[in-house]
Amino acid sequence: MLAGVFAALALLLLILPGQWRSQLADGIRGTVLRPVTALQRGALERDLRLADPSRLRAERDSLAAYLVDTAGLLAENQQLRSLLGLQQRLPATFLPAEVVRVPSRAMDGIFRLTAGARDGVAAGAPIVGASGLIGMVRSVDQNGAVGIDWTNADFRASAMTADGDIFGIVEPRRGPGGEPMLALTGAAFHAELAENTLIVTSGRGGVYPRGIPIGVVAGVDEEEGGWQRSYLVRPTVSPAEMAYVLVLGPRDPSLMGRDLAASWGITVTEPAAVDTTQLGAEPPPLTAPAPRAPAQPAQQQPALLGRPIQPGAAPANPDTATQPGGTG
Amino acid sequence: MRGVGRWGFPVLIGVLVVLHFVLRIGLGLGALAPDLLVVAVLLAARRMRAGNAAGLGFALGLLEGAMVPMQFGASAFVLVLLGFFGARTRDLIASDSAVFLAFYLFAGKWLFDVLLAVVTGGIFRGSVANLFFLSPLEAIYAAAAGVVAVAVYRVAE
Repeated sequence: MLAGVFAALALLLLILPGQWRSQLADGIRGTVLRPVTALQRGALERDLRLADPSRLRAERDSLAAYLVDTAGLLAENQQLRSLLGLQQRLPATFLPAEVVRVPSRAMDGIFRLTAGARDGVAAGAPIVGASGLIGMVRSVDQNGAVGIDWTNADFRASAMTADGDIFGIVEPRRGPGGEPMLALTGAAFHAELAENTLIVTSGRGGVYPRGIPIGVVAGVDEEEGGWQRSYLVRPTVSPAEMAYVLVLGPRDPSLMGRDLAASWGITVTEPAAVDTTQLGAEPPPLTAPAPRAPAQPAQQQPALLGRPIQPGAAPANPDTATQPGGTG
Repeated sequence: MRGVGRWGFPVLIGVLVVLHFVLRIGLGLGALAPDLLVVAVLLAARRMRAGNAAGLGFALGLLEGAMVPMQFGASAFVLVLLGFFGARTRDLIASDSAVFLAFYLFAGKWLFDVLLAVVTGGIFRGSVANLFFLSPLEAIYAAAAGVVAVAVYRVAE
């Protein structure tokens, strides 16, 4: 009889609404079982304190890995946005492609492109980036191509100053400290180029269209026999920025006659007319404003708790050609 | 009963109940600690009338269910049944040997797990395998703990 009563009470508890059961359970935990719950809380806090350092270290390491990945993503995002803006300003025959470095040939400036003959790419097509000239296509197959960049020993380009006064050939050269750079060779001895003078492709030779930024003058390289000068040129495109590129697709015969400088935001002012009565006087300086990079959205720095962990530095913006060049 | 007096056995039951909550819940050992609550109900049932044993099972089931809200009411119902039937075994088997005690505690703990799985519906959610593999192990563990507790009590007695 008594057992039946208790069984009925237990069944009643089973069918009680959840809220009533919770309240009853809370009441029991807060009274009879209070010492047990206090002991449980103490055990949990003790476990947290003991596990804390290793947990914090693991969280810190995860955060560091996340920040490094995010920095890479931000740089990639910036490159793609720049390339997108450039593609809209260039002729439609320029195709986007991705650079895949060949592990054994990365130091030689040789890479594969994800665009090939089926996209209209041909051998000898120029490869450009958001900041300027990268290189050219060497060979093509159906689905891809092999290209060389300006660090490759075989790279050559006919070049000139942005105002079209000084001409020469750019080729790879090691700068101070072994830095990969270019050299503008064959410049006339009497022509003096100031630092940061913008060098662009001249369009001669029919390989590269006119007006593609190559780099800026970094100093005098060497003087040959008193009649020629070579200048060191710091390229506008660094190897780190060669992940996403534009390559010239189906050949457009009219392209070689066009000046693409405006696509990179380069405007060239005509040199002032020389007053022959003032020969010997200092001519007015020429201006070749620096190429403008496409507008970028404001980058938001993620809010970090505690001391931020600095990832590797993002590639520098090669937007450096701003100074007027003294010309002869 | 002489030696520890007439309160010796109730104290044993009380100690088992307290140890159950301290080890399993207070210190967070969980299944690493034996189910001393079921052992306490089964041992007490052998010395109580069926109704009283059912009442004890109901009270201890309330305490157990308060710490595991999903089982509130289910533990109480099953322990009521366990207490009732545990007291009934006294009419069938009067032995008090360690072998019988071990078997009795093993069977009682396993029956508790089966009935709890049925009442909470766990048996219909795929915990049948646990009833045949994990529960017998826990029952052996509980039986061993109970036998040791009774042995200590008898030495003290």
